[in-house]
Amino acid sequence: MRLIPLLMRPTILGAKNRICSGGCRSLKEATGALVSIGMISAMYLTTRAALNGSADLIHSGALNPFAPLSLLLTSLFCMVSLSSAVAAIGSLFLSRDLDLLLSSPLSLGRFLFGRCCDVALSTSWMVCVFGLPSLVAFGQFFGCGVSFFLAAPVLCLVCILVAVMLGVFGALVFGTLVPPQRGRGLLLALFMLSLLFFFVSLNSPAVSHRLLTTSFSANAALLDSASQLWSPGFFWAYAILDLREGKFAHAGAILAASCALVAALWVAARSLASRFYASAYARLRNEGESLKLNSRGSQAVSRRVFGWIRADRRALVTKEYKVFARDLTHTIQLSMLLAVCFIYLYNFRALEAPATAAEDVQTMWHLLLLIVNVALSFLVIVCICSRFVFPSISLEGTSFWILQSAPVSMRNVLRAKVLSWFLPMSIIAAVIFMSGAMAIGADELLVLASCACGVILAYGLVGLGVGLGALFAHFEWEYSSQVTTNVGSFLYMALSLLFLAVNLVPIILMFGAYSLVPGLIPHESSPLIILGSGLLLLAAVNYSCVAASLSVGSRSLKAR
Amino acid sequence: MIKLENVTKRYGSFVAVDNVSLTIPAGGIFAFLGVNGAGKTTTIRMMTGILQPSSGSISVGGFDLSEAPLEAKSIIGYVPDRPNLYPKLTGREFLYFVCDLHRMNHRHAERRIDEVLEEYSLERWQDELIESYSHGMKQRLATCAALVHDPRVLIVDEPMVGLDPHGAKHLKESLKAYAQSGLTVFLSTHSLNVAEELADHLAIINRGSILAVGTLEDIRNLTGRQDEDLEHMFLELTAGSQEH
Repeated sequence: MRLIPLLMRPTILGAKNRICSGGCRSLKEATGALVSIGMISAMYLTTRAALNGSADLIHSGALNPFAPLSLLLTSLFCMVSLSSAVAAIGSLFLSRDLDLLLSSPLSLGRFLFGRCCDVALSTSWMVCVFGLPSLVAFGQFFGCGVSFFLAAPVLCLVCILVAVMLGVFGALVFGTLVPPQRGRGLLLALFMLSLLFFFVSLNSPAVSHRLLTTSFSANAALLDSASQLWSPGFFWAYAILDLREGKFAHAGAILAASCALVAALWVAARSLASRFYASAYARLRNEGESLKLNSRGSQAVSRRVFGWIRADRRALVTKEYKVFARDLTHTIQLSMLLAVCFIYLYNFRALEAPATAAEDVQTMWHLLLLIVNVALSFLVIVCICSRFVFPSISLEGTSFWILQSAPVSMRNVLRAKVLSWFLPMSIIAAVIFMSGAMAIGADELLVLASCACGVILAYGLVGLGVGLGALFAHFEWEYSSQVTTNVGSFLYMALSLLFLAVNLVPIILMFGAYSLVPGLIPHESSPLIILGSGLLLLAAVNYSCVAASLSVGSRSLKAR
Repeated sequence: MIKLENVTKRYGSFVAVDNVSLTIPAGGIFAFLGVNGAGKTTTIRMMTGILQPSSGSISVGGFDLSEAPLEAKSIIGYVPDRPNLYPKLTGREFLYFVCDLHRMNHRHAERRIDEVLEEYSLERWQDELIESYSHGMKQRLATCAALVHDPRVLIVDEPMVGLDPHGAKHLKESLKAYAQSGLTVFLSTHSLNVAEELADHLAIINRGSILAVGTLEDIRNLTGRQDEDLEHMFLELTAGSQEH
């Protein structure tokens, strides 16, 4: 027990007690663990299959395994850094136990160390699930020795530590420099500026020319971007490739340099915290007290905007938006996730069909791109939903008694949650699905059909998220971002992939029939009939999923 | 007005509330007494529909909580022992939220909100976020929320915790006034002087079971101590059950 940092003990003992308590909760944990194992196995098998499929290309030297490895590590590094920054803001500035901890005779070093461990534990599962299985498959494919399998996880661990320390340091800088009440405005301003920069750079002739090349060169450019010197994944990929060949000199140097970077970030965070943390925390508390709002005005706006919804649901929807808009961690996460959306669209624009290919090849290529657009856009929406929709029930927290004792059924509470999140998510989905379809040059009907697909899938994902969020509701959190890193959240992501597979069947049938059948049956209204029937089938699938999910969720909440 | 019939609540092998039966008449103040961990809050949470009993039935105002939960909840006002409210809403926004949950007419809601905020001296802070409120202010706001929809039954769990002497005195006077106006007040407390001062009827619960029910006189007759105050009778009835 002495080896476990003091501040980690409540988390670890809580997890132990949950598992040992038995019953329904234990069953849920076990299900989550099984899904995790399934996901890890799937990642391993997929990587092995991909490497085996590309064996000839790799062995002939046409495909350098360095690029995908570097890209994987860079992606994981960015994901862990972003998640760590959000978790660290919650853990260092907004957590409920801070008053207790800061009034305890606990040194700042121990406090910061405990918080760093907490952040690392809550964000490192991404590397365990997505990174390590791929790395093992990589090592097995190249027939690496035991030394590779021992040294590569150490490198991954250091990669996590660098990302976590960067996130913690970023959170401390943010908390120190930005007054919390102005943080939201500042983030939105930064986001809008980035958006402006994105559109200006996208429309500049040089970039457009570079992006709108053939798909092969565009993909190569995408992969090469991760092998640049500034890319964080570059060094670790380089070290892992050296380990593959049994060379330890470079790997050792990179490992030492990474450890030095972790130490430097720790020292920087420690000194920043010792000088500014107390004042930043005090300022956060004081500024919360001086905020005055126009309650009557906001109620009048709510009545006007949501006048078409019955009063109890309107109350829940309005409350959801107000609470969301006033929570700084939500704003940060939203800014980051919208940035992911734009990065996705930016990259997807590069997948232009080869202009010189035959007509039937072009048709098939477009069909493939349309389906890929749906699948990738779906994953982007899953990312956003897992951050906001899935935790929305748990975020009721200790205030949940208000809904339990109110004359509103749990089913209505869940329906109101679905309505609250469906409105913004359908807009985001419509924009992403439509922009993706437009970027690949689809015709108007297909663009509209993609947009409708986005809206229907957003409904399904929101319903699934709310239902599962109710089933795995965890009301006793210390800070809000904890909810997004629990077993249920992971299960939601895994089930979303299954949900995507189910939805892809009608989508492939619809787009396939639209692209191929009109040539065979020349009838004016056949494209509309095909798309209409496909969308109806898709809507039926999603409606059934939402109904089942809400039913399970409301039963679970009632039984609490 | 409130009827509990053979209500039991089990958590695994632990019996928190054991076969409790109570009948609480309309109007007046009913005090529910017990030491810490006796089962008061669990009973109250079942009466407000937050928890489902393992067995037995509860009806409020003639509505069975398992068969017509929404009708029963619409006539209950509940003030919990810990006022966990939405910290990111203002006090007034929270009251709007409660009024809308009860589907009140908005003009009536505006009027009632003004009335309860004035009654509990919260007008000055009504537009500030609840996260900036003190514990006592949150307790007062929770009381406002319980009263804003004009309930027929007010269930209050440990009402004096966190209130300053002025607040406590005001609440006691208000509870008396509500009872006189016909509201049924169910008050859970371990403050015996509060119960003695306010209650028309009372019940003592210990280790999940009801030990005594009735007026103060009934309990005196039960214990055979005609001249004793409630504190002595309570200590005698619950002897050996305190948590250490």
